[in-house]
Amino acid sequence: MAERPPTDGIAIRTTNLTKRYGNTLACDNVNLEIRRGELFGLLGPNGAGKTTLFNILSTQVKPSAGQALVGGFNVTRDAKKVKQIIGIVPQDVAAYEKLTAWENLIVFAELYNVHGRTAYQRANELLRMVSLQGRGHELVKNYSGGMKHRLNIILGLIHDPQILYFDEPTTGLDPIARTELWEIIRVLKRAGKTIVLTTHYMQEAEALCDRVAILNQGKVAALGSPKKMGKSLEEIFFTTTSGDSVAPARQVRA
Amino acid sequence: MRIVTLIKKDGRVILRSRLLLTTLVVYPIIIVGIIGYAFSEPNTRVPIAVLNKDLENGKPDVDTIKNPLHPEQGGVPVSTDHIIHGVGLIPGLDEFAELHEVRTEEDGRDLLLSGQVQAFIIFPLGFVDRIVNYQESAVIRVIVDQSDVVRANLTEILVRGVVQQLQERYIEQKVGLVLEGIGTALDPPLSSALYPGFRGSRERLENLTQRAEYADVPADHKDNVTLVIEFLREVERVLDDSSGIVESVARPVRARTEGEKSGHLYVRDLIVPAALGLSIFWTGTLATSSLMVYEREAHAYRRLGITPTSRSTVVLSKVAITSAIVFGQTLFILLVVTLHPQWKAHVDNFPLTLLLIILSTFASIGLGIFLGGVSRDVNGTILLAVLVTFPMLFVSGLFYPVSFMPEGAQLLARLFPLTYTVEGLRGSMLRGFLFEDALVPMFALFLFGLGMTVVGTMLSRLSERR
Repeated sequence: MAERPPTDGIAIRTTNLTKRYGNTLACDNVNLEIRRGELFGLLGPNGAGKTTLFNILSTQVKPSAGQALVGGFNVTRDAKKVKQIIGIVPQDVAAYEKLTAWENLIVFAELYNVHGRTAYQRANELLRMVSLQGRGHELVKNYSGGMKHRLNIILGLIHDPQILYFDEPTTGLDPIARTELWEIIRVLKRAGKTIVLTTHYMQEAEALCDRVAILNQGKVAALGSPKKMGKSLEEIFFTTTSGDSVAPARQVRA
Repeated sequence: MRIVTLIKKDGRVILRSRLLLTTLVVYPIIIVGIIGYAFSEPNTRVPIAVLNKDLENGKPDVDTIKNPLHPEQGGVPVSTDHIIHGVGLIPGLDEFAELHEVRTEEDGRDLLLSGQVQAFIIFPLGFVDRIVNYQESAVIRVIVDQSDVVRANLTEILVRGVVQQLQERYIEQKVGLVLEGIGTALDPPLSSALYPGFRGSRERLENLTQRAEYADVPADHKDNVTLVIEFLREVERVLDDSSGIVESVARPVRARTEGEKSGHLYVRDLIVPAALGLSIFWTGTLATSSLMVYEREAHAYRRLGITPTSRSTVVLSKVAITSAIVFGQTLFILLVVTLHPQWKAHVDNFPLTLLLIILSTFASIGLGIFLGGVSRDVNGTILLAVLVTFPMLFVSGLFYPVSFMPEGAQLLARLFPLTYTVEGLRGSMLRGFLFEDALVPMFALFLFGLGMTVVGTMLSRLSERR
């Protein structure tokens, strides 16, 4: 595990973060601070810049200007160190269907340099955490949709990352599977993980997130705690994202 | 090591995917086996219908080729029936031809049109008369089934070969008899005391001039005798050279074919490098593209992208496992065709052959990376690989020489890497190519592999960003 520099309790900090694709500004001077242990929601309509921000924070895309620090490491200069401390749970299940859940976990453990007994122990713990301990040696292709989503989560946890990115994790899930997943996310939060979550569901953001940022046209349109915003998150979302012009960022007292 | 983890993972994926296992490992061996079997030496003879019109008279017409100057001395008996049943005596013909005798021209045409025979040979009435006389040629009519051009050409070559051999046999016999006649004219057998021959006549006249009473012969008579002696000497000289004259007139040209480099080759020898090339490109292209696309299909690139594993390690793992499969497969095929007692494939320059296999594998992997960059799923990439491989099969000189193709097609062939693989492997396996002889195919394969890898990687990155 990479040694983390002092972060003043801040897990992720972006300063004037900008990403330009040709004439399009996917991220426009984004300034965010996400605290350690916080469950932070990123909301916004399609094309708002959530995915770009997500990709920058996970070192997949380099910013055009500004900087992003994850765990105190610069995502551009220290990409390898950032990769060691983050885990990602993509929207689509990212697992090899021709392998068993166990084999999938071991493959990704070894790619993170976690080997032998440590990897096996960790795989067993994670399978237990999502109630897959009895099915760990079955091929993933035989799993139900809910089981695959649970595996998808623990694949991002195999190297015990401090910061977790969840990309619209409940899209397309039935209510039972969604509730199960929320519970897992809460368990992870209780374990002290910093979680960044993108979602389209206001109810999900309100139920899970400590704070949310609403993005529109690459800018932060609103930022704050959903419980302390005064209005419903849905109302704020429509107010800040409707119309051609972006409403000025609405700082809500946390 | 991360690359080992990825290779092990890809190996498991291939072993557990019936589709990949069949198309990558089993199918090429089956297809190479089928091609090899199809192009091994033919064990069925070409069926040919034969009509002997002499038999229309009810009995075979038998005649004799005689000494043209001494017909009373007998000669070589000949009949069309003998020719037809004697063709089996022509060396090697039995291996290729299977004769079906018919009674009428209609029967022969029926057999030809129904596809039961591939050629119909008609010996006309009076064929034997023409063979035995020294005035004209005997004509055979040959009708070939043209419904299949390639088969028709091969049959025509075979029939022409048979006629040529037949012709040579009769030339041999007729020339022999003519020379025998000339020899007899020059020096008749001892028993023929009345006809001393040209040489004997000249010797008798010369003996006459040696006698004492010859001195009394008038001078103008002596001059005549001298002239006759000179004439006979000239005839002797011409007849002494006649065997060469007759030989060169009857057979002005004789072809003698010799094998170069590896000696005599069979169709199967040409097919081995082609089959190896086909297997390399099929497996290399498909394995690489399938494994790349499988990664995308499993949405794993993003997850892999945030591990400390570099992208080049991921690509290298695919290259490593694909190379292992291709090498294993190619060496297996090479070993089988080299050791198999019926095949005993030539490998003149083994190190160069190996180098060409490596470069071809590189080119095929490059093509696979390119296809992987443009395909969305494994089924799509298999379809795309088939679409790319299919034209290569016909244009890359696997079964038909590139040099025989029209200029445009030759140009097209130069764009396909399989053309260089086949050319290179045929050179190194059959023609004793040295390293410097194979520079063009090696350079072309390397360049193709490099170009495709670069373009494919760029396309792949674009595809993942979408």
